[in-house]
Amino acid sequence: MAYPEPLERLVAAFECFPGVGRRSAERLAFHVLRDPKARELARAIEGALSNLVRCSVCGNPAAKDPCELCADPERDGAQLLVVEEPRDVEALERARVFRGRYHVLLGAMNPAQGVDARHLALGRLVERIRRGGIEEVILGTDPDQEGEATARLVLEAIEDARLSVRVTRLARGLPAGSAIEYLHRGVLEDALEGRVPLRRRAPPAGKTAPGRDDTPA
Amino acid sequence: MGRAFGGKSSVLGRVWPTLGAMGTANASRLEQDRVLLLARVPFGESSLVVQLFARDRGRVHLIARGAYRANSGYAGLLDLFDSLELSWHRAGQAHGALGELRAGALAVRRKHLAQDLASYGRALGVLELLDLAARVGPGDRALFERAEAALDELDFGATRRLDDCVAVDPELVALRFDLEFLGALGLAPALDRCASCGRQAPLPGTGLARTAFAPAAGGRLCQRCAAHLQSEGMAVWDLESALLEAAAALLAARDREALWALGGLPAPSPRADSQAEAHAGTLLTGGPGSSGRKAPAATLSGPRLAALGDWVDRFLEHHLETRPKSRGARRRHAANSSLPNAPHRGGPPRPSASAN
Ligand SMILES: [Zn+2]
Ligand SMILES: [Zn+2]
Repeated sequence: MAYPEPLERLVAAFECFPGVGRRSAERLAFHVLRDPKARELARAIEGALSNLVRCSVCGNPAAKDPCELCADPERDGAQLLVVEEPRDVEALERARVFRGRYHVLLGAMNPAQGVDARHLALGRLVERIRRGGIEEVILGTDPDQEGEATARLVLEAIEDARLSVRVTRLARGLPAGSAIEYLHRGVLEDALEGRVPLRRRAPPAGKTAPGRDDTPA
Repeated sequence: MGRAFGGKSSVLGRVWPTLGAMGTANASRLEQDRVLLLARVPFGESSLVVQLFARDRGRVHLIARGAYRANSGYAGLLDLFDSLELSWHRAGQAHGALGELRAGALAVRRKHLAQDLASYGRALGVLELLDLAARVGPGDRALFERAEAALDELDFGATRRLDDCVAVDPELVALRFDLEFLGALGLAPALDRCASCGRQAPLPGTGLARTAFAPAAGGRLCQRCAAHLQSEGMAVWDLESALLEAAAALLAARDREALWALGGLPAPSPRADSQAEAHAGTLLTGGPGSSGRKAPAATLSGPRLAALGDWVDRFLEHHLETRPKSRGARRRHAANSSLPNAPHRGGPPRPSASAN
C-alpha cells in the first residue's frame, strides 16, 4: 500500500486537481516516472508559477501587472464583464465583441468540487467597483447551473456592499444559426422567458398607444 | 430552414438516432434510462464526458460528442440537477470504456436551484451522495426517486424564495435525503430500539431525556448495551432522545405537506396566490419567534435543526469514511451548530469493532 514518500507526495499533488481521483493520480505519477519529458513539464510549471502573475486589477494571469488589457487606455472602463476563466476572455477577445474591461474569477462556485465563495476573491471585485468609474457589471459566467450560482454569488456580493451599479446578465436562449425544431425544451423555455421587444425606441412620453410615431414609412 | 445543409442531416441523426440504428447491429447496444448528472468534464474541442446516475442502470459513463456545439441535439442539455431521458450506445468491454450518447431530452428542469445559493449547496450535496453510492450495474430506483424528490423540493423552495415567499429550509430537505440515503444503503440508524439487542427504546415523551448512540453498532442503544459496548472500547455518543425522534419524524415526512409542517410552515396549496402570501412569514425559516405564525410544538428549525444536521453529518462521515466536500462548506456557514457532548470532529475515538 505505502509508496516511497516522494512518490506518495507526487500522487497527493496530482490528486488535488479537479477531476483527478486517487487512481488517476497514481497513473499520472507513474507516467511522470517513466517519461523523460516530465522534467520539461516540471520546468514549465516552475516557469509559469514564477513568471506569471495574477493581474492585480482583473485577476487574469499575465506576464506583467497590470495586464495588457487593463493597461490599454482605449478600453471602456464603464463596463465590466465578469467571467469564470481566462479562456473566456480569450474567446471574447477573439470574437471582438466587447470593448469594456474584464474581471476573471478563476473558477465557478461549486463547493462539491472544492470551489467555495472564498476561492473566487469577490472582495477584490467589490473593491474594484467601489473605487468608481464602473457603471455596469455584466455577469458573463457560463449558462449552466454552476455559472448561474456564480452569477448569483457576485450579485449578492455587490448588493451586500450596497454598490450603486447596474448589474446585467448575458442573455440565454436561441443559439444563432440553429433551428427551433431541433432545440430542446430548456433552450426554448429560456428563449421565451428572455424575449425582448423588437422595437428599440420607446414611445414618446405621454403617449400610450404603441407605435404611433415610430411606425416605419 | 437550411434543410439543404449537410449539417442538418447529421443533427437529425443525433436527434433521432433510434431511427438510424433500428435494424442494425447497433440496435442491440442501445440503452436508455432516466438519469441525473453527477459530473461532467470537457473533452476535446467540443465534447463532454459525463458521469450519470441512471435510475435502472446505476453509474454510467458517457461521451457526448459535440455537446458544446450550438447545433448539437444536446447543446446545453447536460446540466446538473435536471432529470434527463437519455439513450446511448453501451460501452465496449474494455476497462474504462465510455458509452456514447445518442439522444437526450429534458424530463424535469430544475432551473431555479442555482438562483438560491443555500438550495444550490444542498442540491450539490444530494449529487455528491449519489456519486458515493453509484455503482456500475443495476440502479437503485428508490434512491433515484428520493433524490429527484429532494431536488424537486429544493427547486420549489428556491422558486418560492425568488418570489419573496416563505419556503421550507433547504437544510430540512437535505437532511431528509441524507437519512433516506443511509436507508437505501442499508445503514439507516436504529432510532426507536436498541441497535444491539433490539429492545424497544423509551417511547417519545416518557423516556429519558438523553440516550446512548453508537454509529458502529448501528444506532440507538439501551443503557445496558451502551455500558457493555463502551467497556469494549466502542465510541458511544450521548444524544438528546428528542433528536432521534426528530429524525424519525423527518423520515416519515415524505410529502411536501408533512415536510413543511415539520418546518413549521403550512404547505402552499397548488393554486396558492404567491403574491398574497409574500412576506406572510419569514423568508427563510428563521426559527421560532421570527414569524407571526404559531409553529407546532414539534417544529424542526433553528438550533434543533442544526443539532440534527450535526448528528447526521457525523453518522454519515462514520459510514462513508469521508466527508463530502459540499457538506464542509455548508457547515462553515452554520457556525452555531454544535451538539452538547459531541466528540470533537477532528478526533472522535476510533470505534474498536463494528458490531454489525
Ligand atoms: Zn488585468
Ligand atoms: Zn440493548
